Amino acid sequence: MTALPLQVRGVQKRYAARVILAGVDLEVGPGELVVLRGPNGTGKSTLLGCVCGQIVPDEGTIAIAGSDLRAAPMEARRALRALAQEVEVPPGITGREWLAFCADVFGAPAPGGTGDPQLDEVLDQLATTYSVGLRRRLAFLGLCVGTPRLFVLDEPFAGVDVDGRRAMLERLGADLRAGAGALIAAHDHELGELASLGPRVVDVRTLSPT
Amino acid sequence: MRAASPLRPWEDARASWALPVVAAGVAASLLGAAAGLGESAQRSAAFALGPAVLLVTLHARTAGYLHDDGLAATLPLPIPPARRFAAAGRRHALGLAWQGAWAALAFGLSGRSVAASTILVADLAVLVAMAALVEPLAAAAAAWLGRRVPAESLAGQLQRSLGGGWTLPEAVVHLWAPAAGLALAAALAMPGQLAIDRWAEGGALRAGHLEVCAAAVALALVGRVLAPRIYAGGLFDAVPWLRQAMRTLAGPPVPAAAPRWLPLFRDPALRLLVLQHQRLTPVPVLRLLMLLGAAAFLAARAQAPGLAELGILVGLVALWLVPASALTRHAADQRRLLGPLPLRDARSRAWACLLAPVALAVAPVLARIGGGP
Repeated sequence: MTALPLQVRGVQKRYAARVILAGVDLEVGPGELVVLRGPNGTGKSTLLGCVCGQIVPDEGTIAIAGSDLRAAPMEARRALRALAQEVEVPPGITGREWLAFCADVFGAPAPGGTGDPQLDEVLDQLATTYSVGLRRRLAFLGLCVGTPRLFVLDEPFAGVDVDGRRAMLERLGADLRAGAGALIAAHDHELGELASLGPRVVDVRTLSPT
Repeated sequence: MRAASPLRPWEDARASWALPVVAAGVAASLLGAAAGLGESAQRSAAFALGPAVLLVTLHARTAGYLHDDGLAATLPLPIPPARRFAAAGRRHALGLAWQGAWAALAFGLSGRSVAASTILVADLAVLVAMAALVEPLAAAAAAWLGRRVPAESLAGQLQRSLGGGWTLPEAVVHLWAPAAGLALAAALAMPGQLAIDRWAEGGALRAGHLEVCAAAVALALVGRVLAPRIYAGGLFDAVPWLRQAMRTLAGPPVPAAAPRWLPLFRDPALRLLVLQHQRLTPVPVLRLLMLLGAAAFLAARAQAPGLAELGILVGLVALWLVPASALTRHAADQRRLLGPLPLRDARSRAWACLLAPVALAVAPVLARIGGGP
């Protein structure tokens, strides 16, 4: 049986006395897109941070593609593809070099191109010279190399134009059909664009039982 | 293409380069003063000054192991800990070599004779070599000890009690582990340094001396070999806890109030740059006072400033100027932001403000040198 892309069990997180996540359970199945929504400050980014291993929960377990994030951090990270809200590409690196870096990290052959004409045109230029939207598209494509099992995307379409959003959605859809799962933090106005992928929308406030 | 290369831009190339000059200058002055007490007293002073000089840039050269922003940003990637350890190790080695070179220059110039200088530098070289082996182990141990452990366990109780309650228990280790690593390096260097001194004083080296030296080296080498494995065991837990400690407990997000003299700058663009400089420079007033105070002291002193004193002055100038690089790094972004606004470009005036104290400090010292002893 194939392991679930994401299995979150009883995750709790406090900052000092403030409880952000209280016993969160969440599963993302193969081919499933889960959209996390909720007002600012309700724990969306904290939950994504926990899933990405950038925040350690006080209690609970997180398994990515069957690998526990703490017990088997490298195995879990090989399956994980995380796109932060603010994409930073390192200075002094071209888009092509960035993709080669990602391919190396994920143990996959370096892609010759991106299939995105606008991005292909500038692939040998420094990635820091790209527009915000292009940087985000490049970062997303870097995550698509290899065999992703779980995408964790924090507001992935911010600053991306219509064509870019369409290209990203097509690529994400292809990976979902191949059995990956996706957990996306999005605001209400972005839900319409994700509708084509048949998402399950979850309000983060309902994940923490009161 | 190897991934180690694209990782390199995340390695902080701003590893402190000004502080080693200041530290070396101060060390040279103190060793110069100790020289008057005899060679033995000077070597004793060098024993204490060596670790002190290395301590000055300890954080800057070891930050790549656990503290860097790039490390946290790339934590979701399956980059093997060994590769991260190697990348941090390059920065550590570079920083230590830079600090060691300046310290060696200072120690070498302070001896009363070529032989005395050689011994001082040799003692320092032993310490630097030990630091090269032991400091990465300290970072690895900090990663291992910076994990969450059961609260009721002895380790958990130690984490809580050593922190005094004002930071996260998991982050407490980062307060003492780096300095403890340097202390361990100093302790392990001591047999070698004492053997050198004994030999220099004409004493015979017995087998026991060499055995202790070999044991110290072996211990350091074993630690260095084990360090990447220990680091791998704690990295993925320690970095998030450290980030959480820095983000939530490193002080309030509200910055200090703008200086009361700031409205004296009438131009809003210049005022913005000055305020940014004030906020982005740690203890700016202290830096300024140190620069002007040292310059006034050197200019007023009866004796003309020597090489060590000029080294200190150059270091203090650098300490005043270097933080401005935080602004120059974001100059293009800032120009894009301010470009459409009805403002005059204030960069040249901002530089003038920054360089004025330097001119004020350097001019009388140069005049003093020109005036002769």
